[in-house]
Amino acid sequence: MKKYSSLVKYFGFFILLYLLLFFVFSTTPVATFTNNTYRAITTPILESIFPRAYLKLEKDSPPESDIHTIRAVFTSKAKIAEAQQAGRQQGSKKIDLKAQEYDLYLHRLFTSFFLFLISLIIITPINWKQKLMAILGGTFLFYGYTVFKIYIFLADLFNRSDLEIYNVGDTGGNIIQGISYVIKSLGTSALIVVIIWILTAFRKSNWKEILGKVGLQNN
Amino acid sequence: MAKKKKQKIQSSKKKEVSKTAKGPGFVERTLNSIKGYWGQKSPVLKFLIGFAACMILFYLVYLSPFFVENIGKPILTGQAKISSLILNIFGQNTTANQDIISSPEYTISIKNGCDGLETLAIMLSGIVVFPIAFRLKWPGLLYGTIALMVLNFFRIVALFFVGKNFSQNVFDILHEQGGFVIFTVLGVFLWIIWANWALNKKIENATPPQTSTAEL
Repeated sequence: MKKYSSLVKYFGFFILLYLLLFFVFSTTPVATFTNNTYRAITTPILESIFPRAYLKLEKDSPPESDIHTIRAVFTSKAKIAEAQQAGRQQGSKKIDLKAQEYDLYLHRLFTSFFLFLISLIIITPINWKQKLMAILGGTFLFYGYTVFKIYIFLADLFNRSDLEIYNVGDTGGNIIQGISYVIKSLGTSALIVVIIWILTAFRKSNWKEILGKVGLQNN
Repeated sequence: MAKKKKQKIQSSKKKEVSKTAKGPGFVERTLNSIKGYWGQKSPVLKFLIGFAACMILFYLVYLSPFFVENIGKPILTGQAKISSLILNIFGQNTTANQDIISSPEYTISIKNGCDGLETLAIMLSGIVVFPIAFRLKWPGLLYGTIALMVLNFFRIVALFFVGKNFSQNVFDILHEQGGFVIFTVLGVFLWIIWANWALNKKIENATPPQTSTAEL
């Protein structure tokens, strides 16, 4: 049993840490902060990627008002211009245009796998400076992956929707649909986390040492 | 005129000699430089590239219609049957029909992605690309697969109990978020157990046996 003590310790520590972080990030103030921060950073990035789309990331509206939901509201800028033109001709200053919506569940998209990454890095037996660097690098990489995910989902929607904001043709559409299908799976998010963890926490000099400390004790 | 010809012949000979002295051709030199670059790279990076390649291959197969229809569905049916068997040991009175496990009180359906194959692929890819002899890999491949499959049966059974006795919210957390992460971590830890065991075995095999010397 002594042989497994190190492993049990690390696994137990991971479970405790992950559950604690999951609980903290599920509380209303932290979840609201995460939601607001994520939307504030991501909206300008997506706007610059899709200049032909009017795109906003919004909070969930009542009656549900789920703090873990982000609503992508979008329409075509060309359609807005057309409606404005028609409104001006009719002498109306107001235009009425229906936008389309797509809900993103933040826990599924970002939080639970981000916390998975953070917990993995924290339990890895490396010094605190290396942990901090790994957390910073890992956060940046994982956030980038989630933005890529949203980009693919939206590109797929834009291509399919009758708004015709972006039309990438049949082949392009099939490729985007295929990628969208793959990255929707929880397994790909878990895989990306494992890859980022190895990339940020492991070094040429320490990987055997890390495996030795976490794994079975060498008798 | 004759001198000039001689000079020309000599210079063309020199060119031929210099051509042969240049050594390997462009393709060979490029291959050598790639080999050199690859050799200098960190083993972690090599491992990651191999690991990512294995996972891409896995997803190409796993999401193909052929796999879903001919391999994925039978696996789900088998998992439903065995999980139902375990649930019946605990007196749940369940029956399995294809990927559906149902009892008079609750019904659960095992879908693609709940089969544990993605976590299994992560662990197996980690073992396959790990830089160690194959004789040390196969125990990890075999016992790791058995361990993860058994753990997945317990995951399905646990989800059935949670779904039956708790709210949908708790079920969702254990099914899609926390539970999935913990199952993936189990796969990662199994890989670490194997990697550590394999590295220790390698060291043991490399160390020459100590000979005992008798005191005179």
